[in-house]
Amino acid sequence: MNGDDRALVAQAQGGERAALDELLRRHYDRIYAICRRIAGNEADAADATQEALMAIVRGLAKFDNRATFSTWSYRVATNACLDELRRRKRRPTPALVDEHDGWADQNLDDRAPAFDEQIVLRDEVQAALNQLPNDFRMPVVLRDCAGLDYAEIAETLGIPPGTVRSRIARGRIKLAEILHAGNQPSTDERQNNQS
Amino acid sequence: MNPLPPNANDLVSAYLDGQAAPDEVTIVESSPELMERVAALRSVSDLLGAPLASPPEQKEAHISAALDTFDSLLDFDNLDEPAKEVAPLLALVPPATTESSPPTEQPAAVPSLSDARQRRRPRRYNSGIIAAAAAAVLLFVALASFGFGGNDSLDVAITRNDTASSPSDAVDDTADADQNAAQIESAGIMADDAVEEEAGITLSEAQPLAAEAMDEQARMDDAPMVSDEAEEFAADSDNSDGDDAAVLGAAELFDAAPSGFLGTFPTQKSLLFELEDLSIEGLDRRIESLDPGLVPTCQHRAIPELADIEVPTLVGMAFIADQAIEVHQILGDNDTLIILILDATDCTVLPATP
Repeated sequence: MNGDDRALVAQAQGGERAALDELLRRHYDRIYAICRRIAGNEADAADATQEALMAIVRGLAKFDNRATFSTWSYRVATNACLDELRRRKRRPTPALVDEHDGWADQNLDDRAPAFDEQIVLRDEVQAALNQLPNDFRMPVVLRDCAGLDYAEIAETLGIPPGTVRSRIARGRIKLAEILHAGNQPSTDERQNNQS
Repeated sequence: MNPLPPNANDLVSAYLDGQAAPDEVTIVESSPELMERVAALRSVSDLLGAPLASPPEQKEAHISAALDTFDSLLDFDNLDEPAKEVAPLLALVPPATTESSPPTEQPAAVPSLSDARQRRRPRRYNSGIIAAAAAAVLLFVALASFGFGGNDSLDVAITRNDTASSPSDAVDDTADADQNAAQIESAGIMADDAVEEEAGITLSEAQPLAAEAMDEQARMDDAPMVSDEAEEFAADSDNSDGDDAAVLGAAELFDAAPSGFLGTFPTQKSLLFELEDLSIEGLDRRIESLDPGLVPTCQHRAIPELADIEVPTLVGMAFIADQAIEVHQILGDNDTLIILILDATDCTVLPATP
């Protein structure tokens, strides 16, 4: 795949539209998955994915094969998602004190999912992921969705590799706890089963 | 059973990622309990890594839009650089190596002339700000000679002059900028002289000088970039991550200003002109650096426009003419950036003026 990517990159850098089309199609699903996991909802993920593809096209001329195309493009996608999160941070949102039991007291970065993300959470994994603070969610997504190694994650997020390692570990443990708790029957269900 | 090490979770997670040191691998593999944890975390990792299908029509629309961008870039490059028809997007990037070849340090890619020109454009605003700052210095000195007296005016005038001279260093790398910097420097010297003499320049004398500086700036903005400027930008390219170096000029200039203080501007329009050139990231950096949780701002006074926004919005403080203002940024519908200019004394939103 990497070798094929290199050939396609070279052709796309030479102006071959079909080569770029093929490159984007190959990596679209992974880029979308990264954006979906980071952004936390469909609408922001769609915007971020579009921005990521645009950024890849604009930056292709500067891509020099020092990393694989997949790694580079996933980093570009990550940065596009971070931009989307920053935009979302500055979007006015109603206070959530009454309805959500003190959420408004938390830092917005740590409050996931956000207001409009509450409507439907079809994906259990996404719901669990949304409960992680961004500091832990980002490294986990970059590792498990994008496949970046610790050094690449550290560079992308601007934090030391040791911090990446501990945040991934803590993020995964927390996710496992959330998912495990979600699979446990509720008190009512247990009582019904016993009776 | 051996007790688990205190960093068991770190070990297990790193082992799962193949990033554990050899001695850590030994520890994990010798403990059945740790291996159980590895299996549990692997299932979480696999869930996260599972592909997520996007709506097919969305995928097609996204790729189509990206290809359209590609086409427009090609068109732009071909119009700009007819000589690069053979390799219009990247004439000077090293050829791709085969997968079997050992990894070698590739030379940095050299951006095309159009890339260099794209990166060049925002820099003109540096000198634009310099010209505005120089004008502000001259006007301020003149105002100081009229409205203020004693050491206070001297202190403030020197501060503004420092702000004006510092960014001039950033643009001394082109002939045009040199010329402008020289002019600004001379304007600064004139301002210094005026300060020393305390009444050395009048408002009527300052205005033509300011206008001249602005005119010179306008001429510089319209001037085409000379070809060797492309080499200048090629020399400092290390941009495989797609970093946007173009925004750094304006951001650095604002960062160089006193904390939170954007400057003195003759009109709202001139202030907005400078703000427009900052990227979202640049504005974010400013907003985050101001930490309005510690600095009381209009955002803490429950004005309707900012009442429901829980994140910092303050971009900075400034003077428009002689009015102290606060600049806030919020997002409107469709992610439209909205700049609010508030009177710093009573936090009323100022109406837009020319």
